[in-house]
This record gives sequence, C-alpha cells and structure tokens, in this order.
Amino acid sequence: MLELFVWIVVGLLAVQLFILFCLILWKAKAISHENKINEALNSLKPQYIEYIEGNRPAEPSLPRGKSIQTMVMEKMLDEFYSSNDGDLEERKLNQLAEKYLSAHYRRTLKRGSWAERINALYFIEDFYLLSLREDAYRHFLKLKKQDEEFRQCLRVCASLQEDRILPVIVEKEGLSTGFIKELLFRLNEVLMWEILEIIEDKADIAENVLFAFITFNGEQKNEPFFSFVEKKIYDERKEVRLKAMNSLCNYGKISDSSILDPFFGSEYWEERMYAAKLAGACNLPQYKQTLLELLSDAVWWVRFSAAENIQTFPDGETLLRHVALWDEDAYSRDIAKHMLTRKGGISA
Amino acid sequence: MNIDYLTDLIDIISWGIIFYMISAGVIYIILFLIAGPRIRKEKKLSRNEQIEELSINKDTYPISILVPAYNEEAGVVSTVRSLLSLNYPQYEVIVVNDGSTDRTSEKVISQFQMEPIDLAIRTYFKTGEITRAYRSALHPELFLIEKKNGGKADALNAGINFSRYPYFSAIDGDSILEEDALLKTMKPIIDSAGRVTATGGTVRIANGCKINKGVIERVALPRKPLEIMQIIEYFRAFLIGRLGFSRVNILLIISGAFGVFEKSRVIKVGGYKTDTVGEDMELIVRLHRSIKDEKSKQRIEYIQDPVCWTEAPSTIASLRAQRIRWQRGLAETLWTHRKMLFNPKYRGIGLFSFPYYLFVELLSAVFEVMGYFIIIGGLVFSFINPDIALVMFLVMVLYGSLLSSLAVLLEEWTYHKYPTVGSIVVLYIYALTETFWYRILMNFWRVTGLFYAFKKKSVWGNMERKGVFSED
Repeated sequence: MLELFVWIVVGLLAVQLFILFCLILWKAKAISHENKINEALNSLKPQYIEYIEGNRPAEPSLPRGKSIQTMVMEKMLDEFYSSNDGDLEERKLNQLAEKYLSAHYRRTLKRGSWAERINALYFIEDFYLLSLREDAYRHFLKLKKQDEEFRQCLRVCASLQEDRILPVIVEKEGLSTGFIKELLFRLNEVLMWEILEIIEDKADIAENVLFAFITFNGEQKNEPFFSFVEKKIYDERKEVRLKAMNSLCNYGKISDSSILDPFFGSEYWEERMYAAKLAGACNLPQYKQTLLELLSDAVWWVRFSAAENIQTFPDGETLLRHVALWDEDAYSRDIAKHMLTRKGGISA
Repeated sequence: MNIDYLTDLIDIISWGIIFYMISAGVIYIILFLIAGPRIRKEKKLSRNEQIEELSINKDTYPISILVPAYNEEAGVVSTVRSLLSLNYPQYEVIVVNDGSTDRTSEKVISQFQMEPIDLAIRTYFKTGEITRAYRSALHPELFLIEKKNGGKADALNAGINFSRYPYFSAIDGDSILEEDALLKTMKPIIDSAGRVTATGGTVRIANGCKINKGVIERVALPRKPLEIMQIIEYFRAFLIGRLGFSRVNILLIISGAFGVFEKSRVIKVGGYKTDTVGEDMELIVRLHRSIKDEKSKQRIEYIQDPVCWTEAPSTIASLRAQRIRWQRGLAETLWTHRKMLFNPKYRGIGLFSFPYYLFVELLSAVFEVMGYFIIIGGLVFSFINPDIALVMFLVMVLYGSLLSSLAVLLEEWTYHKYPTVGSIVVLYIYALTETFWYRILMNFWRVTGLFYAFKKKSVWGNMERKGVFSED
C-alpha cells in the first residue's frame, strides 16, 4: 500500500515536471516569437503608413514565412483600423487585408478551432472583407448552436449586406432585442426598408423584432422611418407604445404635440413618465405646468422624470427652486431639491 | 487492552482521513475536468475583439459601481482613479465611506474636488444613517456618501439605495479593475438578454505588480513567500474551482472583491445581509434560492478572464484575520441556509455545492489538523503504524502541493499573465512547498475561524494595508 502511494506521488510529480518543462520551452519560444513579431511591426508600421498615404511607391517587403506575414499584417491592420481617424485610406487598408488575410480566414472558417473561427469572423468584419461574403453565409448555414460564433457570423453577414439573412433576423427565435439592434445597425437603408416590409406584412411579428426596429431608429434618428415609429404610439399593446415614446424621445420631435395630452393622465405610470420625458426631449414649454403637477405623482419615477425634464427648460432651475422652497407637497419639494443638487446626466 | 483499542481507533480515523482527502482531491480533479474543455475552447479567443461592440452599444446596460470603504486611505484614491478610467459607455461610481476613522473621505474629497450635495434617496433597505453626500466637480459621475459605521454589507446596501442604474457592481476599496473589466463581466448578461442575473470575474493578486495611477503596468511576482502562496491559492480557487461550478450553474461564491448584479433581483431578495461577515457568499446563496424558488431560468455566471486585481495581506497577522473572517463567513452562510443541504428542490446547489462547501471547504481544515496530530503524535508516541502515517503524509502532499502546482501549470497554459519564464518556475516550486508550511498555517486559522463563527458580530476585515495601489 505504502509503495503504491509513493509511486502515485512520484509519478504525478514526474508528469508535472515534464509538463512544466514543456511549458517553459513553449513559453520561451512564444516570447521569442512575440518579440520577432513586435520587431517586425515596429519597423514595418511607419513604412506601411507611408505606402498607404501614397508617399512610397512600392509596398514594403514583409518577413519571410506565410504564418509570420499573416500575423504581422493582421496585427498591423487591426491597429490601423482601430486608430484610423480618416487619415489612412480605407480602400488601401482593405486591399492589403484582401491580399494577405482573406485566404487565411477562408481556411480558418473551414478548418480552424472554435476560437480561431470566431477571431477570423471578427477580423472579416473589421477589415470588411467582401470577398468572404459567400463563405460567411455558407458558414452561418452550418451553425446549429446560438452561441458567440452564431452571433458573430450573423454580424459579419449583416455588415457585408447579405440579404439572405433578413428572414433570419425577423423570424429566428431566441434573438434578443439588443442583438437584433446590433444587426440593424449594420444594414444599409435598402435592406432596412426590406425589413420594414417584412415587419408590416407579418401580422404575428415577434415583439422583440418590433421593439428593436422602433428603438434602433430612434437612437439613430433615422428620418425615413420616423412616421412608422410615431404611428406606433397608438398601438394597442402598452409595451409597443412605450418603446415608441422612448424612441421619439431620441428623435427629439413629434409631428403634433397634442398627441401627448392623453398620456399625461394615463392609468399607466410608465406612460406618464414617458410623456414627461417627451415634453423635455421635444422642448415643449406648453407642458411646463403639467410637469409641475406631475412632481406630486404617486410614483417616484414619474416625479423624477418630471423634475428632470423641467430642468431642461431655460427657467427650469428657477421653477424647481421655487417648488423646493414653497410647494405644499412634500414629494414635490423633495424631488425638486434632489434634482437641484444632483446634476447627473439624463437618466436611462 | 485499552491501548490496543486506542491504536485501532486511531488507525480507523487515519484511514478515514486518508479516504476523505483522496475523495476531496478527486472532486477537485472532476471540477478541473468540467472546467478544462471550456478553458481549452476559449483559450485563443480574442477578448478585446469580443467587447469592441459593447463599448459603443447603447444596449450595454448602465451600471453603478459601489466601493464600500472602511479605513482605506491607502488605496481608495487609486481604486477610484482606476474606476474612472474604465472603458464602459455609462456608469457612476459611488464610494461609501462606512464611518472610517482614518482619512478615507478627506483623500477622496481633496483628490476629486468633491462638493456637498443634498439628496432624496430611494430607500430599498434600512441602513446606518447617511450623514453627508458629495459629488465630484471634476467627474460628475463620481459620488461619495458618508454614513455611520454598520459593516461592509450595510455600506453596500446604502450604495444600492443611492444608485440609479439597473445593474450594480460591488468592488472592494483595495482592488483595481482592468480597463475592460466591466465590459467583459457584463457581456454574459447582455448576450443572454438578462437571463444571467449576476456575474463574477477572476480576481488576481496585485502585490509585486507595477502599478501607476490605478493601472497595472507590469505583472510581476512579489518577494514575500506569504504573498506568492496566496497567488497560487487564487489560481487554484478560481481556475479549478469556480469555473467548474459555474459551468453547471451551481456557483456559490462571487468574490466580494468584484461582481456584477442585477439590482432588481438583489432588492427582491432583501439586499446584503448585515449580520454575517460572509455577505458576498450569503447573497449569492440567497439569489440562487430565490431563482430556484421561482423556478426562474436565470443563472449566475463566472467569467474566467482575470479582470480584478486586489491587494493581498502581506503580514501573518492580517492574513490570519482575513482567513478567520472567511471561514466564519462560510460557516455562517452554510448554517443560515442549512435547509438547502441535501435538499433535492435546490438540485445541484443542494445536492452538490452545499455538501462540497460543507465537507471540503469548511471541514477539510478540521480533518487536516487531526491528520497533523495523528502523524506527529503517532510517530512520537508510537501509537500509529509508521506506514499509515507516511501514507497520510503522501496524501496530504497530493492534496495540497500537487493540486496547487497543477493550478500553476493551468494558469500558464491558459492566461500566462506572468511574463517571464522565471516566474513560472518560482510559482511551481513554491506550490510544491505548500503542504509543508502554508497549508498548515491556513488549516489552523480556518479551524480558529470555525470556533469564532459562534460569536456573531458584524465587522470589517482589519487588514493592514501597505497600499500596493497607493499614489503617495
């Protein structure tokens, strides 16, 4: 028995020492490889900037070896794209990416590990590799699990304006509102109209798709879809109305201010709150008195919203100060005081 | 005759301890096997690419960061500074000074030009009286509230009352976050559209690292053996333990040093419990309980990325105090929720997590200390077969040193945060020494903590800060 235990401990220790030895070798190699890449990057970056800016006729020569070329180019282009404020011509960056990286990513999508495939998808999108549009779509069709790879592949297809994913965006179950918005953000106006068409044709459209479309357009202040969003404040579903009101806050306008009147007296506190927000967002001073009345609403959020939006008017602070000092209602005084002292941004 | 009985009894106890330690070791290995595939799968994933979108996405939920602080004058400014430079679209930082007797408030006030404000606070929980509140003239999103001393949990509850965003993060005043920590930790919540209700990230020890203005500039090992051993201990806890638990949704701890929570759920369960020193674990257990009671599909997740750096105790006295407090906290939580133990209603939590934390995390120290007495006493007074004593010793080496050295290898295989070859060798060698000194200390303190669990009193850890994050 004792011998067995001694052998187990010695055996495990030996295995660990072997792994440690391998890890040390691997780490030393990785550090030297990384140094090599960093050195190449440091010397090539200025040369490539000159080349991209057109101040250098011939392309600088990359280190030998496909793998190191791919790594250097990927790192360099990633840095260029993330720090590019328009100084570097995107067309040239894209040409370099197509030349050095597209074949590599195509192979990775076919044969890479899960993490490698996702990384490839991130870069396909970042570098806008149009030549891989079909590959990305075909890869998407193979995916069964709704995980990060699925989501990133859909993002890539949307970025590359692949219209075959539109039915997926609208009909696929399990996509969150936030994720659908991410996809809408990537689509051009033509595809957005196609989405709207599907939404309007489909009576049983999933609520999260509708929410995403309404909210997204408000956030982006998309003029072509304003009337669709505004129409939705008359929807029979409360949640849709709220989303539309929220979206209109982002647009910062409504076509006719009187449409707000019924919402100030709504039985739902959320609608009273959004009505207050809209009065501020659309700069409607005619509702100042109504907002002052809402300072004594039974619900804290409505009071908060009313106070917050009174403050947006030029004389808002004076009005709140007056309420804080003289109003008979303790709730109103309290919330006015709170708003005067805590000048945070507009709350979410 | 009596001596024979005694010897037989000790033999039986000895085999019991040997069997127990082998079983505990096997559980660790199983947890490692559960965690391994995921670590391997995500090993090469580019985390930065993954969160690029979130940093500009309007759907990235705004978050309130709560920094409860009690006598944190050495590190609070650096902590706040690191929080103000986080990469996150919308957040506020709320420092809650829980009646510190040092210059915690003065430091924050002078450094960030805090100005007094008058407040109407929503009261979800009753807390110690808030005496004053401030807002920074330099950073409108930074607040400081001063309250009467009531313990860390009370300070966190006060912070929740004050916060205005739907998610909150609790971070210790002696910790700093990596720039993308919040984005990485919020990602599971956003990806799951709220299905994940709380997340925690891996916490690492900052002692020895080069830190400048609240940012880790160079990761390096500290010099003190006590600090190095804690680094190894954290590897073992986070890399082997927590990820395995999280994979099957039975994680019971999100470190108090850093976690993100859905505020509405925390309010629903009543906030932090103020009469325990293990408020972080206790809250997670209560969250699990409420999720299971409601038959909700929400989850609590742990992300494997190292996102939070904390200052570890560097003296024997402060480490002892910390471990006693942790053990007390664990004992109190398990006692408070004892009805969950072996209760099939709570599935994995009741049938696996709870027994694991009771028999492995809480009671292992008792078994190991008994083992020490048996080995030493048995050999000195010859009432134990030397072979059994040696087997027990070898099992202790397996359970202590070899498992910890495995964690070091695992860290290097996955994150390799320590940049030199020398640091892996140092960590590995230290890990092998664990059984012979560090584990003995820990076990005695943990047993002391068990005794202390009977005396209940809400206190802050009185850790002596040398201020690894200090800017002075």
